[in-house]
Amino acid sequence: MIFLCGIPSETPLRLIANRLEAEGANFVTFNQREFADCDIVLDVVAGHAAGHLRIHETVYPLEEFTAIYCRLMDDRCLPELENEPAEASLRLQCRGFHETLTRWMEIAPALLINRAAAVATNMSKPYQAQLIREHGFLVPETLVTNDPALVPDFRARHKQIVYKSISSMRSIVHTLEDDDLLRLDHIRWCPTQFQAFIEGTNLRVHVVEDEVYACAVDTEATDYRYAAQQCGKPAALRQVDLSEELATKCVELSRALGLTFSGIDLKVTPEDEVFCFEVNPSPAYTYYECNTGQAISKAVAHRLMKG
Amino acid sequence: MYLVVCSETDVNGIWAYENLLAIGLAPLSLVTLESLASSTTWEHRIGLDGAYLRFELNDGRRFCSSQIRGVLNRALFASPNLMAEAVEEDREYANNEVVAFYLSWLHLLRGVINRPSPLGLSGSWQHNSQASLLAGQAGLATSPYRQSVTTPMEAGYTSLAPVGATISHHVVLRDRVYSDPYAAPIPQRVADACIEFAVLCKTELMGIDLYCSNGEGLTFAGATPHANLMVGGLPLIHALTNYFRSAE
Repeated sequence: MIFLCGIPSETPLRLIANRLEAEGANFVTFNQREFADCDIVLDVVAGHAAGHLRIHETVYPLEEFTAIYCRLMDDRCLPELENEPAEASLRLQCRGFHETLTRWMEIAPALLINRAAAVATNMSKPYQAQLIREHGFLVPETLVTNDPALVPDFRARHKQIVYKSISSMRSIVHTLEDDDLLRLDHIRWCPTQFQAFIEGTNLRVHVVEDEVYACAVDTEATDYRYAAQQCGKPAALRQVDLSEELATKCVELSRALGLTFSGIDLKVTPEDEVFCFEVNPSPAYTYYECNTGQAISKAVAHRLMKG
Repeated sequence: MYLVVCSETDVNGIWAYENLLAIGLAPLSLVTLESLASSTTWEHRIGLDGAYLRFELNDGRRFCSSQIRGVLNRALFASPNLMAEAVEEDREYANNEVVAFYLSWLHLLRGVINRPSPLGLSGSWQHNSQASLLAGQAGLATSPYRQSVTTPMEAGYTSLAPVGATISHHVVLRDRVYSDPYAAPIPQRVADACIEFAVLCKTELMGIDLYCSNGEGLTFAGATPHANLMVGGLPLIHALTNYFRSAE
């Protein structure tokens, strides 16, 4: 049986549930917002994980699940807890449920998309950049520093540089402008990441085990996710085919990071050099699927069905 | 140059530094997390030529990745001194940024034990559910572990030994177990299981706690990448020295 968890109306989860349903697959969805009417017990005995999960009236032995697709949001932010004080029993129940659920998923002898250790490679962009580089991709020249004196030289050498978060916390990528130099002294408080801006075409490559779905993103924006804000019109997406060599490199990178499903951000320069920026271990693929018609959700559903 | 990176309150880290120095691992520097928090300069680059690190501490000491040949890494956190400067609404963001930065620069250095991991700056921390599973798979005796909605969060990282049980501490460094020389030696099959457990955890230097259970003999009580090094005494110090010298 396949286990889906998260908020069923969220599109990445919804599309995969729809695909599984269309294929007649045996699956169950846990809706996080209904945690109050669910229960879970995890047992570990002599090197084996067992236990049970109750969703409303139905009890499932944990050993029955052969594949898991996890899209859990931060349970502390669920609307059901909005008016609950910090130590409210409902909050504790919610945290206890999610903690047990995630601990089970990590040790379950089932396919999990994706395991925490693999997801966590994305928690540090420069760390992940080193892993990406070790697997044969070019990465943009990067400087992380708290020394304002180093930044103008880095900028002069690369003509245009951007700054963005070091961690996986979402930030909008911005070009460093002349005005920003006036507040450069602020970086003394916290090392900040600067990166050479790479001219070229953005590519998003979704890898589902050994299947590759690539699309090009056409925009003038520095951060195409915010194209409408940064340059007044949304990015245009189109499906593209990768060379066999590049497709293989993407599959190998995703596998090396321990990911069954990933979203790889590439940029191809006018000189045909391929830079890799980041590997997203929990890709919100629906933006790309809906704009290109690529059957990413179908591929994920099929992979889950294989277990 | 070799480094010991630890908190100034880490007695095991300080003990290891003093003993590595005493037996001649040189040049060796103690770099505390507290001193890193007040570094005057950080310069970390990644690009076509690889990864590079340069940093300068408040006391004037300067370090460069090309000169660092080995690190005893006991970094548990980015110092709270640093976070105290952040305004409340930025604190979580700032902490994530600094931890992500530490993970990256620790990763690029040569001869680091333990290698940093996204699940722990000085090696992956295992939740008790995972540690119990891997310990059982490695061949260690384990007591049944149960977790439910009402299990307190902190129970995931506290000792699995029953209250009042006598716990013995052991340290695995690669293919050998170091234990208190004044205690009865552990059976070879238990030592082998401890080594296998560390392999499954992908942790080269690991502390493992065992307790004596009536039915099962020595039973798994917990594990940490932040080992109680003093248990291993001078044999462990010599092994660490050999580790660093062979990593060159």
